[in-house]
Amino acid sequence: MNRSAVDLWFVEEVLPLEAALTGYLRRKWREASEIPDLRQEIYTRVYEAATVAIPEMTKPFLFMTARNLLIDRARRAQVVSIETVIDLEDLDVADTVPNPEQSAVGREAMRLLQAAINRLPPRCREVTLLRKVHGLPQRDVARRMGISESTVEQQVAKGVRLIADAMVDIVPEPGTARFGRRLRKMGPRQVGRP
Amino acid sequence: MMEHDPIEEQAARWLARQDAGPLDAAAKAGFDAWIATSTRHRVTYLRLEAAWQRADQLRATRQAPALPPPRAGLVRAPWRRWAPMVAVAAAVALVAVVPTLDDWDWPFAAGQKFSTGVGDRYTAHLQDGSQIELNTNTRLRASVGQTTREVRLDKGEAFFEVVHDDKHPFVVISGDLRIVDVGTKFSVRREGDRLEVVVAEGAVLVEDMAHPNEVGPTLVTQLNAAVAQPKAIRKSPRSEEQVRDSLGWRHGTLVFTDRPLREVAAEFNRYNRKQLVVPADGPMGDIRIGGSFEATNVDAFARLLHSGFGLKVIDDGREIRISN
Repeated sequence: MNRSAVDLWFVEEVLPLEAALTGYLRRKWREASEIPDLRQEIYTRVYEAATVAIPEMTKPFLFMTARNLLIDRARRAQVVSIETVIDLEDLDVADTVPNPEQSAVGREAMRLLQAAINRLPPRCREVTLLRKVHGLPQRDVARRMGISESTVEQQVAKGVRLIADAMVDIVPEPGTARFGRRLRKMGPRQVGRP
Repeated sequence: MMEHDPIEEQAARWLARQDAGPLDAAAKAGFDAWIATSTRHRVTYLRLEAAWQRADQLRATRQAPALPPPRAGLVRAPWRRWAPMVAVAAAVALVAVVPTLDDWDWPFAAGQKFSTGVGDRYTAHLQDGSQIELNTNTRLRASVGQTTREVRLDKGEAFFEVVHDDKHPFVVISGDLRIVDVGTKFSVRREGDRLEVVVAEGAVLVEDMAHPNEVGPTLVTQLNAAVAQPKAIRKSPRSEEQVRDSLGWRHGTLVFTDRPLREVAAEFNRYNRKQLVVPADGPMGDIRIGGSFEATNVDAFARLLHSGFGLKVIDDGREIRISN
């Protein structure tokens, strides 16, 4: 898998907004079970748009995409009441204000991450701790726990999904956006004849 | 507890598998095919990977239940955040590279060879802790031992992050030119016998080994560049932004400020098999281009030429011909 600038933009600029995006979806969409799917669809749309040109301001772009998707879905779903649609039209201003402090991981984030790992099922938790906190390779994790390497791999697959979901509850603290300024510039900057 | 989502399940399986160790060629092909199937696969994978890497930060907290200390070999360098990614890159590079032993004249017993294909990048980690990022279509050999640290750049471009060691200077040799690090981050780009050295941090000495009497060693310090050719080493200052822009390739990006189209096309052609062809004569090659572009997305750039400049763009799959 070759890494592209869009991948980097997606990881550094879009993913740190997941908590805010999920909060927005929870407020605007009644069917909680559909949120992961909506989020995936939104990610897909912003990623595809970014392969043409990386948007200058990620946050407003992400939320505009989210809003458009919700409107599409609401119009297609007959069960959605008319108020939902009207409600969607006004996008929360607070959500769209770009801020450069999105990708920070502070003490609080660390605490939540630990809490998320503590909530994992016991075996999954032990694998994750040995692998991530103690930095043991999967093979050594297997040896230490006396289980097969393929079991460790399965537990990693499980753990990573639960951890990713738990990250949603992490509210970023102000800090530094390492790629923010640089990447925000991307896309055609000036176009003109000599 | 967990949503049933087949794509995310597959993404998690691929991630866990790579977390176990580099994929073999067949698995790698399978993974690449899976990723290429849809953007949805890609974004889902990237999301899980980012979360999994983020959990590495827990290692710094030391709040985990005590374990016997892991063996020294397991302690990872600060770049561990990217380690899984590097592992993937390593797998890619190893599959693609592997030249036979005798096709280069290799003077060092303990040397390592690294190379990248068109459009690829690769980060090599040397045993002294130094790192070399290879840009597209690059070949180099590194010999790092107890007494010497020497890299030969045969072609292409690389960015060096050198762990300084007064007793063992880090030397980059390219043709007859030699660059000696004085504790530093710098890039070297070779085109034939012409060398461009850009220093992002620290300083390097550039020497012409074949003509030591005609050209003295030139010290190039932070935010300076040197263009070196046999018998001529020219220095010029660079702004921080210029240095950053010239290193954009490290993130897969080409950054141009007011550059003529013919030069921009030549840059893109380093990264892509599909070549941009701009008429050699005439004013078209002088059109000024500015902006940041994904190095391997020459199609998007061609579309911009069409939509932004009204140029005619003919793409036959191998070449993109630009005309009026």
